[in-house]
Amino acid sequence: MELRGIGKRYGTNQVLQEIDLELVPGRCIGLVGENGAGKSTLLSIISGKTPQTQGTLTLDGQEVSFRSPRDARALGIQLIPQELAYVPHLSVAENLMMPNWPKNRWGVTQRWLRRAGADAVARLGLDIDVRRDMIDLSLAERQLVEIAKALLGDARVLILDEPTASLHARETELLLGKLRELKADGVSLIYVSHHLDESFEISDEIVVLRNGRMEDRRETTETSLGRTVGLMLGGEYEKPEATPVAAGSPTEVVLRLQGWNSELQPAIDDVSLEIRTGEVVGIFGLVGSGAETVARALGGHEKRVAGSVFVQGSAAEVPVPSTPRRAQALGIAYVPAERKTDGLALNQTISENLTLMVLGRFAGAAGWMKGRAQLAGAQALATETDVRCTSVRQDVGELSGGNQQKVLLASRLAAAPPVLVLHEPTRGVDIGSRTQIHQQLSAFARQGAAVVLVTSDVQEAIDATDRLIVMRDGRVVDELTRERKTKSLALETAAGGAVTHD
Amino acid sequence: MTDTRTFSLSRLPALATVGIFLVVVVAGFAIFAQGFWTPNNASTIVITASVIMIASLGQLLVVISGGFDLSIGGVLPLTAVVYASLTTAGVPMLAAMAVCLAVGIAVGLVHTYFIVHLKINPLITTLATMSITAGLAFTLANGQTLTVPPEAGILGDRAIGTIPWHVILMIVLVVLMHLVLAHTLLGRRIYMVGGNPEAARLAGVRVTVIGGSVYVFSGFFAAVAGIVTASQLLAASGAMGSTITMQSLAAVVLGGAALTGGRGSVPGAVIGVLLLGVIANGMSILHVPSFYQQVVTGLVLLAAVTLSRLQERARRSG
Repeated sequence: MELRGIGKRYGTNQVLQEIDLELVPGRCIGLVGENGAGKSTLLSIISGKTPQTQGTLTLDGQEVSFRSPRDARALGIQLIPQELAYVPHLSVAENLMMPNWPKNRWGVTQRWLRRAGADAVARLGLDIDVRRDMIDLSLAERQLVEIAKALLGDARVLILDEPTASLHARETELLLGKLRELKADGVSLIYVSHHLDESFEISDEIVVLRNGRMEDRRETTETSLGRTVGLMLGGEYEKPEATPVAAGSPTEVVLRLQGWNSELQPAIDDVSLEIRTGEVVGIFGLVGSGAETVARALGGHEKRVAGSVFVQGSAAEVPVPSTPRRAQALGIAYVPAERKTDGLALNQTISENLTLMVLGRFAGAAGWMKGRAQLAGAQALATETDVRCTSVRQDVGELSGGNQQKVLLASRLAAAPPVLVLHEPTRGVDIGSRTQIHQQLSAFARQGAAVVLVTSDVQEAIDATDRLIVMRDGRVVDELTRERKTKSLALETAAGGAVTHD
Repeated sequence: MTDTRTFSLSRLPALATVGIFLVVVVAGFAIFAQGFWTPNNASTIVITASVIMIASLGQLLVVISGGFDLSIGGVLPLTAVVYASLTTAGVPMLAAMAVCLAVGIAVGLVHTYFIVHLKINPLITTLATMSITAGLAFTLANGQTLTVPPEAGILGDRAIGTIPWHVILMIVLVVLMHLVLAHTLLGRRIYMVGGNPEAARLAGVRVTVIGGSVYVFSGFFAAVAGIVTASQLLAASGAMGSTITMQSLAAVVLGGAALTGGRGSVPGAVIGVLLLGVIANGMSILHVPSFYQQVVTGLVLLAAVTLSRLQERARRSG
């Protein structure tokens, strides 16, 4: 398959231009780029989801145009999306054969279905009982079943979009191994991942996209991880970051994690950290790195994490909090990543959401609420954090995403916790609110609190922190102090680049 | 989404709509139904509505917290039958009442265990306990209608002036629950838990305690409703609670409560109960057969939820 001068324009917005690629049997292209670089647009053009506005696609020397993914599939081009689409409570065989279940005149026969399913699984060299329900498989196994399904359609081009985002290291190995076998069988692969180390491991050619353009295209052996990261980020490469200077130097250790392990995410291995007063510490890692488990566990949102926490003021080390209430008793307030599902009650008022953690302050004898005081308190909080609303009696669901996020943050700040843990605090938030939130965090830290900011957004990890801890595969791999804190170094470290320093 | 309007409470408009509807219905019956607009009939409406009102208070709490309670229709006859048997056997009235309330609370605690701790769907759980409690009521009464000795019917037939005891009790409970819901910590937390249980939990609210307590309240109110019914009729049977579950749910929803939780109020529920009561009463006066009344009640309910849905949609996009 060949792509010549492929471009895509939405209105006046040119999101992709002049992409030239050759997909050769038995070769793998590692497609890399930041969010918004045009990777997904390119994938949807190749897989027939959206038509290109410029350029041509040729297959076996003939120009083709896809009207739907079905057209592309018919020609052997299969996309395996990041979010797998399967029916959880049907068996592996049923999922594999869908929608062409073998039928006779009595309907679908399980025996044929199973035999066909088993054949498909065996073809990929997998050891999976096709009678099991999809939901009972591990994430990696589900991923592999999807690949097996794609191969059933005689895939010649297989496109994988972030296939390892939710896989453990061992499962990733398994997947990469299978992909290598496919390559040897002459399948052409496109591998898209933020985990650059994987892309380097599996691919023969690395293609870097930036702002919709093909920035670089080179044999994998002729380029390096560091160079690729630089190309992905473009001009921002190696720009030293000016971070706000702390008023008082952080000294006192307020929070110490020791020897963390997670039963549910085995990758988490012996994580230990120290957080001091007066600083915003970032924990950066890609999805699956364990950073989010650390955030959730600190908030008491994660079960079965072993290890100990020491919080300033408490006499001794205590186990990782297993409930949000225990976390609060330790002085840790937690801002969850999903504001709509975990953070706010959207059909309640701004006032109720803001004062949720400090309701007791506005209650008198027998739990009688002082309604005016509560409203005044909420109003003060809203003003302080610049929540834009007509009244604090509005439902919080009527606010914009950025303002909702401010409400969530303010509700935690209201309790003035010694330790504030935030998990992806500016996801889906406009740039103005984002800057404000970062300033609030910084100010809160300067007042003597310790702020832990867990994020998978590299820009945020650099901009909003004093010190950055980078996690990968369940381990702390590096700590970037102010002098060494650059976007490229953070990305490279998180993506698997070996960063050693004395 | 910027909202330029300044409605102070977004649940107010929905409530106002149902309120206006109530006024219209009352005016309509007053014009067309001879004998509707009389003090005598007004008191009939209130007296008839009192049991539904009491049961609806419990239903309201549960619905606001995000669940619902079908078991009211079983707990009511069960406690009524228990009350009849005990008082007939010579147990003092107050002791009999205490036993009935304990039965209601016990059912609530069972719900707490299954729904809050085992996380079993409230629909299934309370459907099961409705069946169990209603079945127990029939068993205990041996399938018969039991009588209540007149001296144990004080709540139903004695009055202060012209206001029966049970109406006074109903009013006290209504005011009390309104205060609890609108003006106490517990009330605020019930709304929050109904609005988003996970958010409440992560903010440190004891979601299991709050979410469980509403079922205990509901069991308690169902028991009160059972005692009042037995006292009013001086009789009790397993068949007497068959419509109370649906009526209480309808009333609460008419009054602006959302089955998704987080919304609803006592004044709303009062309007809902009155609306249902007025419709039933007015149509009886007009000699409309009772099965038509059921149809109309259903239509009113559908209309009310459709209206509130449309209003909400307008508000979200406005």
